[in-house]
Amino acid sequence: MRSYNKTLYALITILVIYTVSFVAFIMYSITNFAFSDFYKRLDLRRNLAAEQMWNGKENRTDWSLAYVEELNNQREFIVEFDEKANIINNSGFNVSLWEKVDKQGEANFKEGNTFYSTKFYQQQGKNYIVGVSAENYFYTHHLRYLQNLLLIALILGVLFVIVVSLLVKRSFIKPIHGLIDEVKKIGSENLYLRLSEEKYKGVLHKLANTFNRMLNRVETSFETQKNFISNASHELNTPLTSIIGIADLTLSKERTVEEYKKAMQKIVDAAGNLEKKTNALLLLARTGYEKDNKLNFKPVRIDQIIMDAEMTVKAINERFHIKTDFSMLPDDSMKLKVNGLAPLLQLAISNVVSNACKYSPNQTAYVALGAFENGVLILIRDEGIGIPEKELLYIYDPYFRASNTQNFSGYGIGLPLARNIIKMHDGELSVTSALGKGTTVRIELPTYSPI
Amino acid sequence: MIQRVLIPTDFTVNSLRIALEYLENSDNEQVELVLAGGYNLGESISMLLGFTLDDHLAEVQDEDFLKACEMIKSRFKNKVVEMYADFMISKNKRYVSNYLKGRQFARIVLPDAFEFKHTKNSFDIVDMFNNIQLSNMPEVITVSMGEAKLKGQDTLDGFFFRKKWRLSYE
Repeated sequence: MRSYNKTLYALITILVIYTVSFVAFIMYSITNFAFSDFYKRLDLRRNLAAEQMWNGKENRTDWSLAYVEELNNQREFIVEFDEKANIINNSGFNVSLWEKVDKQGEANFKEGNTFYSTKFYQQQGKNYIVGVSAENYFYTHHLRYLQNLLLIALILGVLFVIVVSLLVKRSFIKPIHGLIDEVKKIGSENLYLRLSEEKYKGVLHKLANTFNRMLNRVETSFETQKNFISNASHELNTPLTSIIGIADLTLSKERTVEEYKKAMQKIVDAAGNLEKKTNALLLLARTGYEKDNKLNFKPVRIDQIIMDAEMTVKAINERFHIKTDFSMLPDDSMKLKVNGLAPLLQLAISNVVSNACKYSPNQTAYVALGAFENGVLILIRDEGIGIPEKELLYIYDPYFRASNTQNFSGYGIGLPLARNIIKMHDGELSVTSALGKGTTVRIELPTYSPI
Repeated sequence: MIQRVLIPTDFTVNSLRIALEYLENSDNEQVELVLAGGYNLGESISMLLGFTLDDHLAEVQDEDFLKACEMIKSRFKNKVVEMYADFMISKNKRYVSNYLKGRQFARIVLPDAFEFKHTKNSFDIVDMFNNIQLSNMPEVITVSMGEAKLKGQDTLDGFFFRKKWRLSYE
């Protein structure tokens, strides 16, 4: 900020210097012109006077008056002097100015407002100085006026430069201060806050936008880290319960070898499921520790992921039904490729799907997939209990559960986790719901573009 | 030969189901879909001068509508060569006749029952086509819109779950 001020003051100084020198230049050149012009006129009159004196053309006395305009206070004089420059005869010449007169040639000088033009003549062995003096009306009146004018213009100009620079400075600095204030407000406890991008224009808009994008990434990984333990417990709980349940049931009485084998197979499946989830969780834990905050994203096929996620949901609870609509699958399978981590995406989608099943009386989730120009759209719909409209705002907060979910077990962790995973993939998850009619979760993910 | 097909629309996602129905039930030939909406320009000079087709189209097509169009395009990539929106700006018989002639439509798709969303100055072009007598009328294809309960639902999910599931894990 300091160097910014310095630049500004330097700029003001430059502008002021420019204005002053501009004014000085105008003043100087006009004065110069006025002087040289006036001296020329004096020279002419002096020559005329000299000619009159030496040639004695008395009959042409009023020649100069007829053809040459009489100047203001014009006076002709002649001074006779000896070799040592002592004045012998003087006709109306101010002796105090004798010093300024060139005794060998021509001289132009001024005393006050009176201008002098003199010339040395030698006539019949005597030395003369012939001269004319006159007041410069242009100098005394017009130039004074111009001087005052320029002075006022200069003062006004400098004032204008300073005021405008300060205003410009203010308008430059002010939005930056606003930005600083806004950023100051954001801390770890309110990472959801964003800078208001519309308030800024141009570069600052870009800056605010970049800040917000950074905040998005920071918030996502911060939240994932913060809620990691709850996420882990939530994810591991379900397969563990099913393993325990199967084992308990099998052990409750004597069974045939076949039945034991079947039970063991189920346990192995559930354990496999558990392992998959553990891997996904490990990937999740790694977010934020990777270089550039980017995991090893690879192009994966989203339809495959959805099918896998559905299998996972089915494996956990056999009563869940999932109906899938792939009628809008694109002809071009490249459009289904998404840059991401399959286990994480699977975790997110299976969470949303199992929620859809859990909160519906018919335990059915409807899943649809379509691709648009540069992204895929996944819709997960149910005909369940829905979410009260007022509570839709809070559904992404960890541990929040809607008021109508008392009869369902859960911790309020699945959806925030799913949303964070989708955000990690630069996607969007939004929820629309009608209480008592059902909920639709809409997930949009950008397609993979090989560059 | 690419056929140009007129599909009526009110620029809601819901109305794109007409296009979907048509595409699903048509032969495997390449088509250019023109989504035409009715917009009565009126007779005021300010409307005539101030109206720009592109601006107005940009105004009425919201993000979901465009996404849905893209989705149809990628779904029927081999069939749909081009897909864009347009306005018919009058119900005048001569205008309609010239509109169809100038753009060389091969077909007009009309839904058997569909309630268009009415906005300011818009008019129902299905209704208009049903009541107009033209000498150069292209082939009219009627599509059945099926379940009535989907009417009025204007979100992207109205697009899906329309009828039988293609795939399911029952």
